[in-house]
Amino acid sequence: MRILMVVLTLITSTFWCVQTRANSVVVIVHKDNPNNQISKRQLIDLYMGKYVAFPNGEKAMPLDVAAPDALKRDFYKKLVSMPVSRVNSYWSRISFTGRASKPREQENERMLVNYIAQNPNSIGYVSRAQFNKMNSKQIKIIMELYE
Amino acid sequence: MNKSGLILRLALTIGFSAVFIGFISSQLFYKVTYKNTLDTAQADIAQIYITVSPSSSIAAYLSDKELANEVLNGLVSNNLIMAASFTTQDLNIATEKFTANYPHQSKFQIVSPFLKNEIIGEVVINHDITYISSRADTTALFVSNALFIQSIVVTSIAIFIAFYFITKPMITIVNTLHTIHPGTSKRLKTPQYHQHSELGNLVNDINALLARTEMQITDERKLRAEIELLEKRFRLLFENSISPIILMEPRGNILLYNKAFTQLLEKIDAPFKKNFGPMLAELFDDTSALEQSVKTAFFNDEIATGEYKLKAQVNNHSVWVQAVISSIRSDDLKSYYQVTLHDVSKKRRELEALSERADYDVLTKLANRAYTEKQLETLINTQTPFAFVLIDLNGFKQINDRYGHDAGDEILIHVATQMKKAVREGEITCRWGGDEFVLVFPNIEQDDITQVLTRLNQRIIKPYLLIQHEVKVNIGSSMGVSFYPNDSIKLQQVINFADQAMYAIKEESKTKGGRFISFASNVADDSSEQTNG
Repeated sequence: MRILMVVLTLITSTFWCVQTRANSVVVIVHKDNPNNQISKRQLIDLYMGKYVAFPNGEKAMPLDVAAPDALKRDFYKKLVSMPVSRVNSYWSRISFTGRASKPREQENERMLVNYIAQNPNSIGYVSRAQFNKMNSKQIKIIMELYE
Repeated sequence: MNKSGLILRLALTIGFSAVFIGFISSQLFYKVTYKNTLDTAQADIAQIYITVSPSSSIAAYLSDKELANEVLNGLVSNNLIMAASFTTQDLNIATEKFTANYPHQSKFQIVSPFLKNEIIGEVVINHDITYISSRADTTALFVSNALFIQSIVVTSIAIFIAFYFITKPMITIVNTLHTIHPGTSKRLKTPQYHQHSELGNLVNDINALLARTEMQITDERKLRAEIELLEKRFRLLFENSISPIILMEPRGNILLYNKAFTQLLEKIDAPFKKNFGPMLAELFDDTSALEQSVKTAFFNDEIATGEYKLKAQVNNHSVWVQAVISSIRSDDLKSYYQVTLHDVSKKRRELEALSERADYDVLTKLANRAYTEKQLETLINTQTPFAFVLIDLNGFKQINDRYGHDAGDEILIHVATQMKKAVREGEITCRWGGDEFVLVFPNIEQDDITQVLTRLNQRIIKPYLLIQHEVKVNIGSSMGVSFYPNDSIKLQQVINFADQAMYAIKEESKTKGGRFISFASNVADDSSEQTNG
C-alpha cells in the first residue's frame, strides 16, 4: 500500500513537471539579434522601463500581447510576481513623468512574432506551445521563464 | 477655631498629603504620558511611511526624481514630519529644512518593487519635534491636571466623610462629656449611625462608667451623712458634759475644750487663753505637786489622777478639782494630753472638816488609829464579825534613811492610795502608826480576804520610781490577820493575835517568794507560848 502511494506520487510529480515545462513562457527576439541570452533582472529592467536597452547597449523595444489574457498574466506573474492590474497601476503611476513608457501591445502571438521578424531590436514573449507550433525561422529564444 | 482641634488637624493632614501625592503622581503621569506620546509619534511616522512606501519603491527603482519629490512632499505635509531625504545610488534629494545629523530621525530602507530582498535606497525622516513635544505636552498636561483635580475632589470627599461620620460625632461626645458632672444622672447620647460602631461602644462604656460613678458618689454621700450625724452626737456629748474636758498638746497648747471648761474659767474669773502652760499649770496653786504626779503616772504607764487646789478662790472658798490626765497617742504618732476636771470642792470641804475632828491622818488621808479603834468598838458592840489585818512595810526604814523623809512620805502616800483602791465601801483603811497600816473587813470569809490581800501585795511590791532621785525602789509587806469573833471576842486580843501572826512571818516575808500573809489561827500555839513566856 505504502509502495503504491510512493509510486503514485512519483508519477503525479513527473506529470506535473512536464505540464510546467509545457506552460513555460519563452522570451523571443529577432534571429539576427546579437544577444543570445538575457538575465531575469535585465528582462525586468527592460519591461518595467528602467533601462530600455539590450545587454550589449542597443536600444530595445519590449512588446506585450493582448490575447490570450492568460499569457500576459502568466508572463508578469513569472517575471515580477505581480498581477496584471498591479503592473497597469505601476505604469499609470509613472507614465505622467514621461521618463518611461509601457511596452507596446500586439493583438496576438502571431502578430507579435511577425512584428519581431520585421524589427530586429524588438523583444516579446509567447507560450512555449505556441512557439513550438509556429516554428518560425525569423525568431529565437533568449530566455525561458518557468514557474 | 481650636488650633489642635481634630477637624483642623484632620483637614490639614489629609489636605497636605493629598496635595503632595497629587503633585508627585501628576508629575509622574506627566512624564509617562509625555514619553508615550513621543513614542506614539514615532510609531505614527512609521505608519505614515508605509502608506508612501510603494511610491518610494518605484521612485527609487526608476531613480525618478519627480516621483521621489512627490513622496517627500507627501511626507512633509504631515504635521509630525519636519523634513525628509530620499537617497538611492543615483539620486540624492531632500526637502528644504533637512539636516543630516538630526537627533530625532527615523530611517526607512527602500525595497525594490520587483525583487523583494533587494534594498535600493533610504528615506530619512526628521521629526517635527517642536510640534510633537507640544502635542505631548498638551496631552500630558491634560492627564496630570485631570489627576490633580481628581485627587482634590477625592480629598474633599474624604474630609467631608471623616468630618461627618467620625470627627463631628466625636466632638459632640467630647463636648457633652465636658459638661457632665460626675454623680449626676446625665448621660451621653449615641451618635446617629454609630449604634454598632466603635464610637457607639465608647459612648456605652462611658455611660456605664458614669452610672458606676453616680452610684459610688451616692453611697459616699450617704456614708458622709452618717458620719456627720455621729460627729454631731459626739459633739453634743462633749459640749454638754458637766466636767470640763480639754485636749492639749504636751506643751500646753489647747486644741479642744468644751463649754464646761469656759464656765469653770468664768467661775474663777480667769480670762481664756490658748495656753495655760503644760497641764494647765497656771490655774493650779501648787504646780509642782501636779507635775510630779503626772510625771510619775506617765512613767508608770498609768493615768494620772489627783486632787489639786486652784489658784483662784470663789467666795473666799478655795476650789479643788480632781484632775484626770491621760496621754493619748494618735495614729500619726503625735501625743496629746486629755485633761478632765471634776469639781470636788464640796467633798474636799467635808474632808477638811473631818480632818479638823482629828479622825484622819493628814499625810495619807486614811483614818487614824483613834478613829479606827472607835469604829472597831462599834462593830463589836453590834456583834458584827470582821477580819482585822495589820500590815507592816518591809524596806521602808531604809528608804527613809537613805532618801529622806520626803521620799518616805511619798511611799506612805503611794501605799495608802493602793489600799484605797483595794477596799470597798464600808471597809476601813487606817494608818496605825509609822509604817504600820490596818485594814478592817466586816463580814468576810478567809478565802476572800486572801484574794484581796494578795492583790494589794502585788501592787505594793511593784517597783516604785522616786522621781526626784531617779531611782526605782522596792518595798514589801507582811500581813497578819485575825478574826472577830473566831479568834477572840475581845478587841485587844484580836489586835494582839494579828500582831503576833504578822511577826511570825516577818523574816520570811522579806525573802523573795516567801509568805506574806499569816493567819492568827495558824500560829495560835506559838503565840500562846510567846504570850505566856
